[in-house]
Amino acid sequence: MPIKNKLPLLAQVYPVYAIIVILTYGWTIYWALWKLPSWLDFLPLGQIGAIFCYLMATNFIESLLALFGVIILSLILPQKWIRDLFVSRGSVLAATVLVSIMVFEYHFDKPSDYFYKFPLYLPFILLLAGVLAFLAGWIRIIRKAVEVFAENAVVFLFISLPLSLLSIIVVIVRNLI
Amino acid sequence: MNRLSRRDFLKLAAIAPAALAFSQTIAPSPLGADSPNIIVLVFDAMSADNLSLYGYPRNTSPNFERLAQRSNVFHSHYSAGSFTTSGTASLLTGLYPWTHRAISINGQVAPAFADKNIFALFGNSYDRAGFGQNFLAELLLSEFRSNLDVHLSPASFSVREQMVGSLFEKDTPASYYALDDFLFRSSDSPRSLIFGLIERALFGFRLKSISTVGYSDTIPHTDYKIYYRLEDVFRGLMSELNQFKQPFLAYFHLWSPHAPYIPSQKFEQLFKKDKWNPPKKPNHPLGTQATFQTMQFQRQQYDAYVANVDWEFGQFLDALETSGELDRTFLVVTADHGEMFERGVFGHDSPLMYDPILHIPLLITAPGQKARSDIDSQTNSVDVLPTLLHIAGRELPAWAEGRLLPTFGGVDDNSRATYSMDAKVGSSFGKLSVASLAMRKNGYKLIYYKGYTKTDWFELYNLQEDAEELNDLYNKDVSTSNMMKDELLTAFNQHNGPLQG
Repeated sequence: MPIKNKLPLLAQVYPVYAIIVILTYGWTIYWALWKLPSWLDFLPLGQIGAIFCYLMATNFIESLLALFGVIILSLILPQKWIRDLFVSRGSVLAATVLVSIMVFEYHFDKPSDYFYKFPLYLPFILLLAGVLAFLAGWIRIIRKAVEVFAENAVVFLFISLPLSLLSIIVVIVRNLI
Repeated sequence: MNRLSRRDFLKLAAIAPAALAFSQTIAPSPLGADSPNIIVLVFDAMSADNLSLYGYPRNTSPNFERLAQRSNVFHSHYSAGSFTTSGTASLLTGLYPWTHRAISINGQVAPAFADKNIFALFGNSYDRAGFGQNFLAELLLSEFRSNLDVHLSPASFSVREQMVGSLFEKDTPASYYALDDFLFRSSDSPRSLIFGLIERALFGFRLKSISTVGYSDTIPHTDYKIYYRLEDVFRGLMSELNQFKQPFLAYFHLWSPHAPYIPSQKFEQLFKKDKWNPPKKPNHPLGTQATFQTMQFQRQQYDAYVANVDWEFGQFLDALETSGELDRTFLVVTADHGEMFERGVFGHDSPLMYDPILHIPLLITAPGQKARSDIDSQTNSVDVLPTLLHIAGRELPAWAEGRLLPTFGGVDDNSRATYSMDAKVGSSFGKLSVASLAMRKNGYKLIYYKGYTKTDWFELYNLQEDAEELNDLYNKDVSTSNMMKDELLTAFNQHNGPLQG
């Protein structure tokens, strides 16, 4: 089968990407809101704006990375497994992995934990993601719920994408001058 | 060669006593040619109270004592700030924290004063170099970057480092704030969900290959993923010195002996079995209420680390002597703030204003100086900038809040008021409602805790009779208390308004 046929349609990609954006940007923004009062105490607004540009640019790149991960899975696995149900299974896969990482990061901060412990957790995370993704495609009500949620989440892309592109431009300009 | 006539001889004889008298003070150098080199070596969190040089019972600083034999030793030198940002900013600007407003952790000098730094004032006839191994000092150096000819990365001379912000070196400190202090900050969960995971796992992998030979567990490191060996840092600094153009002003701010205290195996047992115990002091309500045993353990670790740092400093000193650098250089050795192990607090992350946190070492060796001079009068870190400008033959700026140090054009004056301040929780831009302040004058110290509880409170100590600050005289010596309180409040209120640009 040609690779093109295994690639999801653009209309399928947006909802999955929206889920990824909510989680990656949301995690950073959640912590940034905790930090903001402290920044306001000693940084001028321009400097805080520059910091947010770095955050947005980083989030943009890592969200694309996560999306590519799901797309690559869709390419590797049989068409029926992911590609045909890309919105529901892709969303659940991405969300499960990202939420599992959140849980891990919430509880661990030592570099040695990330090097030694995370690889031990990874198979469980992937197994869980696989099971949930399977259920999300198999049980109709879950599939519909995920699809509706993901498609509505696309609205966030109208905010995140322009802001991220603007942020990348700001970061580039600040590092060229 | 012209021979001296009898008349010339008589003229010289007449001015000889005056010349001898003035030789006790260091005259300013003429601008330009023959200006002396200056090295400012700052040890982070080094309390004078823990140095044998200043009378500490443990032998923590034999090499400082060796340097002291050919230095001007300031015995009553205090930092204007109680942690790196405020203490360093005062050192580099000659301004008190209430003026420069670098009062928050990670803060910077207010834009209005950013060009009033020592590097700008020295001008480009000096080769000006800055190294801040402590991230907070590096933030200040980044702010003054346009006035630096050589700006060494905080990760220089390290064994392993992972400072992500350095990749965007044209945009520090914004990149530091965003990346090293937030997204990838090592002491918290990563704030970047995916890259944070990768970055930390990668660092965990890279840490695995660090050789810990000579250390029990790990080698010294900072809060910001910089792992280093002290000997590498001093060796690296020595090598940098050889590359600077003459004359140079080199500001080297080392992380050690800041926590975590990691002495090498050679030093870690040094004070473990001695029977010495510091005087017990009551816990302070604003302290963290650590137990006496915890504070003792931390103190013992700190003292061993200080001894380790002192030993490595001794090697650096030898290298300076051997290379002849000390014959053409003013060497200034000091700290940004101290460290305390009493009253329920260990470290310096505290609003308390007791001597262990504020009393810091200051030794200044003039080129070729052979004799020791002890200066007992009270001085402050804001005095360093005017003194260095004087040494380099620069004009003293009218706005500087410090004075020339005694021996370097200044006079002994214990009747002057000097200040220290902590206002980490306040805003750099507005009125400070929570702060602790200390004022020293005539051998007394008045401490003012403002806004921590419903009612502000004061403490007064006579440092000459009560060096341990155990006998609070605030309600006993009312006239001194009132006099000092009025002066402190007047000075504070003059500066405690919205920041003027």
